[in-house]
This record gives sequence, structure tokens and C-alpha cells, in this order.
Amino acid sequence: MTALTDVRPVERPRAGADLLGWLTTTDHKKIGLMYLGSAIFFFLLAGLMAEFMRAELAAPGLQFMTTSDYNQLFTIHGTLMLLFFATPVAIGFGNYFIPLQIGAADMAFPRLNALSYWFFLFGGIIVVSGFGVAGGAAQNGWTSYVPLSDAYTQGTGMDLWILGVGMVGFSGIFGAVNFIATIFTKRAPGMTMFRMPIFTWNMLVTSAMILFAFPPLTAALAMLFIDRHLGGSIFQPAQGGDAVIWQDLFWFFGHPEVYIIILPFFGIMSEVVAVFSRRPIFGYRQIVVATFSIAFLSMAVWAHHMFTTGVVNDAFFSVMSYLIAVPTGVKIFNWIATMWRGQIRLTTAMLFCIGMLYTFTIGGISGVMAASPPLDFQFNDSYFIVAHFHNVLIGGTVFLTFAGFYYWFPKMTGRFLDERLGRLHFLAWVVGTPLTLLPMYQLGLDGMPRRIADYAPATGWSDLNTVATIGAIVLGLGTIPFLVAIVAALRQPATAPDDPWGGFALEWATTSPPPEHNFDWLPPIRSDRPVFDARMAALAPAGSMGSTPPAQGG
Amino acid sequence: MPEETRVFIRSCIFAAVVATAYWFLSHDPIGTVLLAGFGVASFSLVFTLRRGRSRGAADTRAREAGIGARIADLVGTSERPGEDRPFEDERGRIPTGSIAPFLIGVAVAMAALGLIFGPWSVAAAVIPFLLGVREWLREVSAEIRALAEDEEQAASAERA
Repeated sequence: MTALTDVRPVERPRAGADLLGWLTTTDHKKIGLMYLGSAIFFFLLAGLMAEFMRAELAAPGLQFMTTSDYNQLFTIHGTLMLLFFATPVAIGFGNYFIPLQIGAADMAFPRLNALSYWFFLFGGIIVVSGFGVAGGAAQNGWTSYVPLSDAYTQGTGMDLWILGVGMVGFSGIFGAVNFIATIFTKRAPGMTMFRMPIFTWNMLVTSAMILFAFPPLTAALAMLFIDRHLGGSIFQPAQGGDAVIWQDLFWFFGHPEVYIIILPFFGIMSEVVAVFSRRPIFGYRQIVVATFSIAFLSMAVWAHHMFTTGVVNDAFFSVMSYLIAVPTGVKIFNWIATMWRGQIRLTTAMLFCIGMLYTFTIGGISGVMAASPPLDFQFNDSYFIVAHFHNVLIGGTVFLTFAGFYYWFPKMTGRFLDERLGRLHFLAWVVGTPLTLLPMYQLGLDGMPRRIADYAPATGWSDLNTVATIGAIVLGLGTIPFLVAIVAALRQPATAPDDPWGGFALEWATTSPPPEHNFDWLPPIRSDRPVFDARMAALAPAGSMGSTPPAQGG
Repeated sequence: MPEETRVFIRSCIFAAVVATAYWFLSHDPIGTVLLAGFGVASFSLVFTLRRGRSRGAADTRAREAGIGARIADLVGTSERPGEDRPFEDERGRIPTGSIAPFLIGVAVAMAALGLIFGPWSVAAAVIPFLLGVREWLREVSAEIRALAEDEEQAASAERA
């Protein structure tokens, strides 16, 4: 079918030329690009903070910063990475591609969508502005445990953290409502729930989790603010409050948050692996069921972060945490089965997906270990835990963010990211990740606590720390080819065809980039791979199949 | 029952079972309330979806023979909207750009900073907030009016 494979120049978008246009846009695609751009900015900023921290830890002694500076860096690094990179980058991809994948013209509530973005951006600016106030930014880790975050130990930077995170909390809730309403009400004729692409399913589940998980965080932040400024004693044991309630509320948000920032990327994985294996996703329904199972279970595992408080039911939360490994394992096997005997194309996007399989799995298995209370009592607050969650989040979220960019960049911009630079990027990250994280596991087992800026030479931790720092440098340098590829691609004319990869979902049925109203026509939707079906129908002898789409694809 | 509603019924049942089991295992009121809250939130979504579905059903049936069928013919599918779609709504309107979300975002950020830096920031937020809300309401009103006119025109065309 020529309509889906035509190579033709597309009018260069006016991106960046019209500031007012960006400020006032309610187009889901532009808002998606704004989310993605801002999230990548926060990723680079938080990554730079990580490089400074690793530089400090490379050798014993305080070389570059004070302990207070270090505290600020790890607090804002964690906050930015989780709430201002990982969550919004998923929302950015969702914004751009959910309406396209379900055959809709826009989100259900376009203005609310824009408001959600502005809340996120201003929230991020407020959090980062803490570095500019007296006393510096918040210094208590992204978890902000009380009493570290109460009025007796923290200044204005902590208040800015509360307000900024509160704003991104509202942003997430607005976005989740919008995604759910869009998926439920805007699907094209024929697009039943079980014909939706896996990415859309995963964004639906993620949005529901945001709806359930973010309000407790927002409420906890309000309570903390009341304690700090209005004489409250909710978290003050000396006045009859309970500091552990903060941990309950925070982790009731915090653990689902871990899955909120991984499930959308599992969706990207499912899209990329299927397309570049030239096979339908293995076990479509099992993957959907596994996604729901992960989501449900993730709402009941929060207190495995609190084993060492001694006030939670260890057995219950341990069993629930073990159970969540089962649906996650189902997904891993499904992706491998999709690739099995497929005609695999090793594009950069596919390479990142393959890299994810082993990097994420190492992190996941170390998480299963930490779900055992006796082991957790040893690992808690050690570098083992730091290695575990970085392994999961780099292997899962970051690798698949990159995969998403390489896969969807032609659709978003009409331009390809350079594959040679992409392979260099992949090589650096696939080598740099274990080089950084594997020493951290051993450091944790050797007893190195997290969140320390210095350690004594006699501990024997310096060699492994040096290796970890070299790994972090590799990751930092390895990001440069990605940025160069983006800049280089944006300077090229837009020549990407509508469907450069032989895709399956509806986003590949429109132009690259899509017009403002998304589609001029839609192929018949009779399976979860409507574009593939249309392509096959066009190849079939005339009259042997049902209706075919019009010849012009855009 | 559409899959959309079933999704939240399942999460409601899951939360009810887990909250009950957790209470008998731990007698921890905090965790039990959190899990029960998850169940109540799921139930409220089920309730909202069912209410929305019954309210939208009449509109959906009416459109199935009209706009929906035309779309279905255009894209070549034999299926009709309304199947598995409780709030089916394909009017095809795309809002134009709006400064309202930006103004409200700026205003809320300024007001939030006012909680730390003093009431002057809250006062300064009032103007962009009111301008944003006014603009938002104006745009929504215009869209509702346009929609009503569209439907009226469609109805008169059908009568003719």
C-alpha cells in the first residue's frame, strides 16, 4: 500500500519559531513534545548532579563539596529523576501517542492537558530554585522522612520542595484523569479495548495508579506543611503525633510510583520488540493481565520499605512483594517469546530493548532478594539498595526512554536519529550501567551506607567507588551522542515516511509528523495491528479482501 | 458490562480482599485504612462509569445511526461506535490554542510561593488567575454554544 510507505518531504514544523504558539497550545502533540523536552532537561540536570556526587565519592575525603552540598544534590537528584523526568517522560510519550494509537483527534480535555504541563514545569522550577535560597535546597533525600524534613531541621529549601512536589502531584492527577477519559471516550470506531496497543493499555493502568497513589502524597505534603508552619503535630511524636505515618503515606504513593515509572516503558518495550521482531506480541492478553496484576499488587507492597521500622507486618508485605515478581516475569518471557524465531532487526531502539532485558532483570532479582525481611535488615540504607533501584530504573525506565525516542522520533519530527550515533550511545550505556552499579552491590554488602559524602580510607571501599565513578563518567559521556543525534536530526529536512519501521499501531497510519487533527483517514480496525492488516490487505490481489484504505495516506 | 467498568470492579474486589486479610493479619489501622481507601476510590470510579454510561446511552444510540455510522463507513469498518464505549462522543471538535492554562499555572505557582515568601505573591497571583479563569470559561461557553448549534442544524437537516 503506497499510502503507508511513501517517502516525501513534509513541511518543516514551526517548532520554536512561535513562542506564543507553544505557550497557548492545547494540541496533545505539542504538549507531548513540551513534556518530553522538559523531562530530558531535568534528566540532564539530575544526571549532572549524579556525576558530581560520583566524583566526590571516587576517593576518600571531601574533595569538591561540603556534606550539606552533597545532601542537597542527592535529594534533588532523586526528586528530579523520579518526579520530573521518569513520570513526565512517560506522560509526554502518552500525550503524543495515545490519541494517535486509538485514532482520536486530541485528548478528552485539551486545556486541562496544558494546565497539567504548566503545573509540572513550574513545580520543577520551584524545586530546583531551592539551590538559590539561604540554606540551600532540601537535604533529606527524595523520601523526605520526618523528622529530617520537619521545621526543626530544614529551611526554605524544604518548603520549596514541598510546594514543587505538590504541584507535580496535581499535575499527575490532572494528566491521569485526562488519559483515562481519552482512552474511554475517544477511541475510533472498531478500536475496542482489546484491540488497543499495549502501550495504551499500560498508560491506562498507569493513569489509574496515579489516581490512587498521588492523592495520599499530596495530602501528606499538606500535613507536613501544616506541621512546619501552622503549629501542627501530625508527625511530631513529642506532641502526640507519629513520624511513621509519614512513611506509610509516602510509600503508599512511593511504591506504586516505582511502577508508574516502569509500566509505560514496558508498553514501549512491547511495541518496539514486536515491530522489530516482525511478529505480533506474544500473549497479548497475558501481558494485559500481567500489567493489571502488577498494578494491583503494587498498591499492597508499600511497607516493604518499612521493614526496619518494626511496626509493619513483615510477612504480609514480603509475600505480596514476592508475588509481584510473577507477572513481571511473565512479561519478560513474553518479550523473549516475541523475539523467538522472529526476523529481528537490530536497530538502536531494539538494542536498548535487548539491553533492558538483562539490565532490568538483574535489578529485579536484587529486588526480590530485598523483599526478604532478614536480608532487607542487612541491605536497608546500604549501597545494595542504591544499586538495586538504579539497576531497575536505568535498565527499565532510562533504556526504554531511549528506545522510545529512537522508535518514535521519526513520527514526532519527520526525521531519523542517526543510527551510528545511536549504537555508540547504546554501547556506552550498556557498558556503563553494570560498571557503575555492580561495584555498588558489593559496596552495600561490605557495609557502605547510602547518602554519605565521605568514607574513611581504612574501610577499603575506595577501589570499588573509583570503578563506579568511571562507570558514571562512561554513562555521562555516552549521553552526548544521543544529544548530538537529536540536534543533527532537527537540522535535517523532514523526510521520514509515514511508516518507516513497518509498524502495527495507528500512529503509523498518519504522516510524520501528523497533521494537527492527526488523521485524514483511518484503516479498518479489526485487530490490535490495524496498520499491519491494512498493509497486508493492500498487498492482497484486488477483490480478495474487504475494504482497503484510500491510496493517499495523509 | 464494558471492560472499562470491569477494570475498576476488579481493583475494588482486590482492595477489599487485601484490606480484610491485612486487618486480620496485622490489626494495623493505618495500612488497613489506606488499602480500604484504594477500594473505595475504585468503587467510586465504578459508580461514576456506570452513571456516565446510562446518561450517555441515549445520545450514543441516537448517534449510532448518524455521525458514528458515517465515520464507520468512511473508515471502512463494519463495527459501530457504542460497542464497549460508555461515553462514545465523536463530535470532532479540536479546541484552538488557549492562554488560560498558562495563566492559571503561573498564578497557582505564584500563590504557592506566597505561602513561603508572603502575601504579596498571593496578591500578585490574583490577576493572572482571574484572567485565566475568565478566558477558560469564555472558551468553554463558546464551544458549548457551537455544539448546540451543530446539533440543532443536524436535527433540522434530518427533519428536512
